[in-house]
Order: sequence, then C-alpha cells, then structure tokens
Amino acid sequence: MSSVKRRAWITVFAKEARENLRDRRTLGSALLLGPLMFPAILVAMLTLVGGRIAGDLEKKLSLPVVGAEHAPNLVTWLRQQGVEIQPAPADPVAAVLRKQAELVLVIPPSYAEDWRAGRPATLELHFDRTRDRAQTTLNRVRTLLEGYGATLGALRLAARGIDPSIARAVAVVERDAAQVDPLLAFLMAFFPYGLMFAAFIGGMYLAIDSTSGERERLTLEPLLLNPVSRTQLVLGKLAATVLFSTVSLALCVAAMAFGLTLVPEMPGGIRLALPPLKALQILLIALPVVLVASASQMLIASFTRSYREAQTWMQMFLLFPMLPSVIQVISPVDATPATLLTPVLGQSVLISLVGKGRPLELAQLAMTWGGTLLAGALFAAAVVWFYRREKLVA
Amino acid sequence: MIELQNLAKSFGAVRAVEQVSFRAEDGRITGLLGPNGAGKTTTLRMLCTLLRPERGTIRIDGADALADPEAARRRLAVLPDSRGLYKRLTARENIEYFGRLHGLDEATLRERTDRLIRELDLGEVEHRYAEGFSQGQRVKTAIARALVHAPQNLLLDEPTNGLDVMATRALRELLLRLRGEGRCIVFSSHVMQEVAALCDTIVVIAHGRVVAQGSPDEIRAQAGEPNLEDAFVKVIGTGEGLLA
Repeated sequence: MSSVKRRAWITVFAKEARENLRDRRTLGSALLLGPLMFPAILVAMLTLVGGRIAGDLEKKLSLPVVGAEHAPNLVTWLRQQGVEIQPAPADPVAAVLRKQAELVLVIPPSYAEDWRAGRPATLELHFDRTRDRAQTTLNRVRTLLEGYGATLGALRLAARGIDPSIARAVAVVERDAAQVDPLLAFLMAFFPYGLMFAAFIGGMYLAIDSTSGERERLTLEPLLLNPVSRTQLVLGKLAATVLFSTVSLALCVAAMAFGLTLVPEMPGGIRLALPPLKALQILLIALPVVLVASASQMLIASFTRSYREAQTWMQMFLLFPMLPSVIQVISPVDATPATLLTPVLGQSVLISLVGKGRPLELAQLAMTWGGTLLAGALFAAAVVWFYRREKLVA
Repeated sequence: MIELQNLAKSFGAVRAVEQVSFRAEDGRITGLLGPNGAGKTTTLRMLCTLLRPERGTIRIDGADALADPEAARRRLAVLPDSRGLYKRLTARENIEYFGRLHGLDEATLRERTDRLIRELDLGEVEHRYAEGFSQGQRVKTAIARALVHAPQNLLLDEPTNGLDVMATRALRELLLRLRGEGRCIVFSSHVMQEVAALCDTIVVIAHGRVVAQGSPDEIRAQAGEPNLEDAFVKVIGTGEGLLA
C-alpha cells in the first residue's frame, strides 16, 4: 500500500508530461516562445546597434562650418585631421532641426579678435540632442576642437617661458575596474528578465492544463476517485510543470549563449560571449525559480474555473516576477541578505554580479536558493491545501 | 456490499440530503430513483468519498469508508456525473493511467485493459486519441477506466445520460454480467423505465429522504398501486423531474 503511495506522484507526473508533449500549444510556449523570444530580440538589437555605432565611427566626419573665413587656421587643421568641411547652411539651427546636418560649427566674427587678444575664442556647435546619432558626431568634433584648443594653449604658455604643465593642477587617470565589457554587463542586467519570462511561460500552459483544464474537461472528479492522496496528485502535476519550466529556462540560457556568437564584432574589437561555465553558473542561479513559477501558477490555475480565465489571470500575474528584473535595470540594488533571499530579485542581483565578472559566491547562491525554494514550497503547500478542500469538486 | 446509515449533507443553507439509509447487497443491482435535485448525486458523492457527510455512517464491504477513504476507493468503481477523458491520450492510455494510480502491476494492468477493451468493444479506438470519440465511445472508455482495478462494488451516476440506444443496451448487458459475477451495483437514475427494467432493489429518494425501498413488488405493495410507475409517482408525491 505504501509503495502505491510512493509511486503515485510519478504516475501522475509521467501522464502529465506525456500528454502535454502531445500538445502543440504547450510545446510552442514552453520550448519556443518562452525561452527563445528574449535572446532573439536581444541578439537582433545588438546586431543592429553594434552595426550602427561601427558605421558612425568609420564614416568620414563631415562638418558644415559657418564663418570659416574667421578662423582659417582652425579650418585647415580640421581638414588635416580628416574632417570634410561642408559649405555653410543659411540657418544652422534650421539645418539641424530639418536633419540636413547632424552638427553645425559656427565660428563667430569675434573669433579672430578674441584670438589675437588672448581671450578664449568662442566656437558654437549646433545640434539636436534628441537625435541619438548626433551624440557620436558631437563627441568626435568636441574632442577635436578641445585638442586644438589645448595644443595652442600650451604653445602660448611655452612662448611666454612657462611650463605648460603648470596649468594642469591635477592629472586624472581613469582606471576601469570592470572585468567585462560594460555592454555585456548591461546585457546581463537585462538577462534575468528573459530568464524569468522563460521559467514562467515554460510551465504556464501545463499549470493551467493540469488544474483548471482538468476541471473544465470533467476529468478532475474521476481522478480524485483514485486511491491516491491529493498531495500525491499535486506533487505529480507540480513535478511535470517544473520539468517544462526547467527545460524552457535551460533553452533560454543556451539560446543566449548561442545567439551571442551570431552577433558581429562590436566597435573597438569587442566580442560579446557567454562562455559555457558562465552560462552554467547563470542556470544554477536561476534554477530554483522554476519551483516558484510552477507552484504559483498552479495556485492561480486552481482558483480559476476555466482555461481562458486562468490564462487571463496568469498574463496579469506574469508582471510580478518581471518587476525585480526591471528594477535591476533601472536602479540596481546591492546584494544584501534581504535582496538575495527575495525570490526572483535575488536571482536578478546575483546574475548581474556574475555578469559583471564577479566570482559566484557559495553563501550568496545558498541564500537565493533558500529564499526561493521556501517561497516555492509555500505556494505548493497552498495548492495542496486548495486540493484538499471539499469545494474543489462541489 | 454497501451500507449507508442516516446520511445528511448541507451546502450552506440548502439541505441536499436530509436522511438517507439503505443497503446494497452483492449480486444485486440497486437503483436510486428520484427526480432531479432529490439528493441522488450528493448521496453517491458521499458514498464515493468525494464529499464528507455531516452525519451518518458508510460501510463498504463492512469497512468504515469515512475512517479510511482511500481504502474505500479501492473497493469502489465509480462512473461519476462528470466523465471526461484525457483528450490527448488514447483509450488504452486513459484506462492504464487509472490502473496505475490504483497501484496495479504492469502485467495485471495489461491483462485487465486487454479484457475490458474486448468486453466493451473498444478495439476500434484503442490506439486513437480520445479527442473526437463519440458519446458512446467516451462513456465506454470511462466505464473501462472505472473498472480497471476490478472492484467488488460499482457506483454509476445517471449512467445512460446522453447515450444512444446501442450504447445503453451495451451498458445494461455489462451491468447484468457484473451482477452475475456477484458484484454489488448501485446506480442512480431519474428514468423510471430503466430502474424498473434493471433493478433488483429500488431506493426511491425525494427531498433528500428515502421515501420507499425494496423490490419492485414491495414498492408496488407499499404504494398500493398495481403499476410500478404509478407507485413511484405516488410515493414521491409528484411526477415532476422524472422521466418515463
């Protein structure tokens, strides 16, 4: 008798897994939409953005100049730096706004006079900050002009017998402590969002199908008439949901690792990659979420009367697990015991850390596993409680 | 053998079953007859341990069903009111799933499933997904699924509901054969003809109470009506909710 009890959940698990492998809707969401959507979007975005940055950098810098006659030396120097000087537009502001030019350099008539008097000579740059591509051009032109100013300033000091370095009170040297490319770190902050999505979507249809679907198709009552405890029934269904959720999660990580190999080299020779060890670490961090995802969705499905109703609730509910990942992107939180113990948030925090190249610490991993498994167990207990109620069939 | 004593059950303010007692013997077909809403389904649901009665006792083959519901379910085959199948499983897989949940070993399971498929003439749909089964094929598969653990007692809630003539006849033959094997069979119905034609013992239920019980002859004598259908209407007090 006890052997029957021990095996019953496996029987339920095997049946649910088999039946849902035959369902295209489950397969489509668990094995395609859930895990692949996010990596696909990210890879497409990276390819697009990377290609554009590279194109802008390689493009010959062409610069419309108003009042070139006031600063012939500057213009000549710019030409020597490879800048293509364009004829002046009639109205620089209008030209920028009408997108005829990204940037217009205006040399005012006062330039020559200021220059001769040794006062800072004003140069104006007109651009439209709302056009994100203007930023790249602006940076390039500004660097050129500041370089020109600094060189000539130093020459002036030298001509007066003063060491030019005296004008530099401090010398700032930048040393970046980041161990990985910032783009990859940024991407890793987004990645948990995709992982959570995969974990939840992966088990969603099975969670609905095996609970409210069972009631809707009038199979629940016959099922409950078997000499199997309702805890065993819930465990079997939960195990099947967890399986699909896990497969979806693993596929998402794999798709991400593979997808990044398709992204062309970024400007500056940067190649984004998710090496196998790091991918496995991320999977390990994210794994306990499958229990929370499966049990919480089963709970929602238990309360709803039909497939459609369950689906509606689930789609609203899907926003909650996404929230921590979004917070992590907008305003990253630190890895404290409180954040690590919080389900889903803990995973986001830890994956961002690992994404930034920090080693995976066992204590932190244990905390995220602990907090998340506990939450999953509570959800599962709630489902069992729900299944034991008489109202389930009444 | 099934014995009920003084069962009562309410849902909120509604008293679905006031007081029901009867005994269903082995080797006999016992029919619960009553209009819709009389408390037949609630009684059967208490009997098969889905609902817990507020009052009363249920004994199945002498064992207290309320004390050990899982043991009671092992002794019962139930064809409940809802008899859905798993659409993406074949008829055979539907039957086998329940057999495994009853803890049958694989050899016994195969033998029982083979026999039920043969006896219920399910060979044609054995390996087809249940999606698209006819009503008759669905009910027959549901019956096979309920019988797979070969229990001594059989409960059926309105078994012929929605069945065509052929399926109804097949079901009747099956019940008679199981009776011949010495099983205890209880079924509920609001169709007078069906109960009159099949049952050895009839329990008439109205307003949550047993208003008459016994063999067809005893019911006729009790009501003082030579015609069984007239006797039914007389003991219930109305013909409303019954089918001829």
